[in-house]
Amino acid sequence: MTNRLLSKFIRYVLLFVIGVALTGCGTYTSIRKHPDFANKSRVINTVAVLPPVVEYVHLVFDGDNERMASKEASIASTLQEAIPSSFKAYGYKISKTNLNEKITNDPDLGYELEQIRKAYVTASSELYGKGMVDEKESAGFKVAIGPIVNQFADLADADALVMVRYYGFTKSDGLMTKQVIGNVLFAGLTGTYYQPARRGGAIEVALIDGNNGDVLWSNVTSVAFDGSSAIASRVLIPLPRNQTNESLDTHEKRVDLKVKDCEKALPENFNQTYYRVGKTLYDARAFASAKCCFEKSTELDEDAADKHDAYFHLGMMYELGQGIKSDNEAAKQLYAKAGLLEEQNSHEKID
Amino acid sequence: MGDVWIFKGYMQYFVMDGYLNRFKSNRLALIAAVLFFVVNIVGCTPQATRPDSSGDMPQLPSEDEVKLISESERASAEIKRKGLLFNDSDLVSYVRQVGARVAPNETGNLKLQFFVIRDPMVNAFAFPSGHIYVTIGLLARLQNEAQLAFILGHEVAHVVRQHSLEARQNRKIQVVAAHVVDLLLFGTSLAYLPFSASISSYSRSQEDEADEVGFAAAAKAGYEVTAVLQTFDVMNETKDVNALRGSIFADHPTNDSRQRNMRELVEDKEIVLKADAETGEDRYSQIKTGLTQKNIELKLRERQYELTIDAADLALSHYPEDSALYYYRGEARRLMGADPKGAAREHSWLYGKSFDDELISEFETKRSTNFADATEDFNKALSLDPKFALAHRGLGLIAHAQDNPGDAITLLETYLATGNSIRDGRYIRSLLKGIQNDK
Repeated sequence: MTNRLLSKFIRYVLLFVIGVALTGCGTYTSIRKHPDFANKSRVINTVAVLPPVVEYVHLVFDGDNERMASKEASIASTLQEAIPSSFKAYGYKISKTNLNEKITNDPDLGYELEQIRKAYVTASSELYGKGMVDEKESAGFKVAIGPIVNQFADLADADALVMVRYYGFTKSDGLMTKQVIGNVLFAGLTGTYYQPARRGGAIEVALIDGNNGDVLWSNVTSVAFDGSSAIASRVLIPLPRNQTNESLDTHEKRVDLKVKDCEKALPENFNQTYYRVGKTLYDARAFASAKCCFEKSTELDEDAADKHDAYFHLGMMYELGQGIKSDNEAAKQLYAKAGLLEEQNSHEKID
Repeated sequence: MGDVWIFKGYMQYFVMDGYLNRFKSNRLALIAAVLFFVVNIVGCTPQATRPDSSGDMPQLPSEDEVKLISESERASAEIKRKGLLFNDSDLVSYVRQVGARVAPNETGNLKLQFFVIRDPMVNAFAFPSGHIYVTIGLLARLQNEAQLAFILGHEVAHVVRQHSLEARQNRKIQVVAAHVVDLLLFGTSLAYLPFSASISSYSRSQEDEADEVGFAAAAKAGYEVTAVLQTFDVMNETKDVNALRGSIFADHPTNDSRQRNMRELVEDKEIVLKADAETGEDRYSQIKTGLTQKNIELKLRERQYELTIDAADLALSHYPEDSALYYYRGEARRLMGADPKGAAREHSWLYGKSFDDELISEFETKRSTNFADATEDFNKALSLDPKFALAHRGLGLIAHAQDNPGDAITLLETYLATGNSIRDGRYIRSLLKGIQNDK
């Protein structure tokens, strides 16, 4: 019993670090797909993003932890923009209904949303009870939250709903010190030492069928980059492009016509930053042009957030080999520049 | 502790096989606690305590007090935002009247406010800000006004005696205990529990004090003490109370000893008995009529199948001709058949069994029995009320689950034809489309 529980615990730690650990284990994945995803996703045009669930906690030494309300609100609003925009980039239409407003005006809707969220917690425990799974297994998850989704799907006139959950934390100095000692104890038991991270968290996104509540696709990933729109890109990278609204080719051509190469993507032309242009290209899978824009962003963009997000995307491109040969060392350095690996050695094993 | 927080966030994925499967995770919680807290217990820093205010200096609220109040306010807002307040004005004003009878006349700056929560679990809790909550599940379970008065008096006592503040200061020293409680409560179906656990968890002696004060207040307000004492019997007979950690009535032996303590107060004549004491049962049964169905409906929505059946059985013994009660019981049985995993999860939670494949397969083998019982209930509902549309839905879904497309189509179309009030038309239509395509 104890072993099993302990191994579960270790698995959680593993998943927690996997996003930035760059251990190169490409066969394991946090993605979950409905067995009939290919067919079902074909009839999904419009999606509605439910108001995200955001928990952000400041962890302190005496255990009197505090929810950080303003941080939660700012992350929620970032996500509320970034998630739909990522879905849009993947070829989905976004429902125009303002669900937030409707819920604020109608407590019964708030209750219905709560029911959906609760049902999703149960679904999620089924989806992720096993932790990371082999890539072959990832398409075998038939989990549903039931027809309670109908009301929101009708309200938003959407074919599918998107559930977003975010958990984040920061730690006080005192707590950091204590945890180093705690983890040494843990290392004594398991032979593996993890340097605790000062801040971090996780994001989970799920695409849910508006007819019967089947979870069609979901993914969870760790984040150390709280509040940035880049986390939406990160968790949605593996989302297959929607083929219904526009074929990939047309989409890429359209973007390529607009921006032939990086040189022509001067921000002046678009009244945007290099990062923004790069992101459009990246979402369109025009990786070579995107890479060029991101590189320019790191040199020329004025906003630090843009620079960070550009480094982050470059890191992802190296990690996942998007348009370039996969290179974990380069990715690691780029993530560090993105502020992602704040604790430089955060995931290195000490043998 | 940070890692424990991460546990909280992640336990859905990695620690728990289901949110109701809390018991298994006890051990995990323990291991985690031991692992990560060993260091923390040793050498805890001295606690900041409230400075002695002496002389005529005005007493300012301590940092802890301020924090506690702001936490309560946030929790109250969240309860409201999540649509958890039940806004039936008759019911709420009734609860407020009873509350006013047991509240002290003078509460200083503190304003006591009573609310009803849309939750089928049997529970009550209070925030230091003066907000006191009772659940629909509790109201539907109690027998009379005297019992409600006692519970409200108990919660009022926690508030006016500032138990949360005391508990908070003690809890800071007992970090480990507090976190284990957190762990157990996170991932329950109760959206408010994480708050109520951190803001309103009390020590045994505080509970005893609140019992005493609440009991005295109820007696003084003219309620029958025998009826009040029976509150504990009612709680001991309630399955879900025992399964709900954090509930003030969760523990049998404690309930018994609490009842004994209170009885002694009567024997020692420390409680003044009024000659014209009442139970208020008549008034209570009036408000309870509407609640019974609401409570059952909420239980069903929470996928508490067994508890729905129990509640429907209990209600049917009073109203044997109620078509809706047959429908709810039938729907719970249908869902047990359709969702053996969910049924097993509930069972493991209720009886503290481990949620494993064996338990699931136990429910899988009962599938056809459950469907047969459900069919009987749906038919009974239709015989009492031929227009009961949801019963057609239930029968249609059973026909579909048992590969009988012909009947499924007829029944589900009958259901759809009944009109606009259908909430899941989209699901039923997509199902019909699928059945027709398969044919």
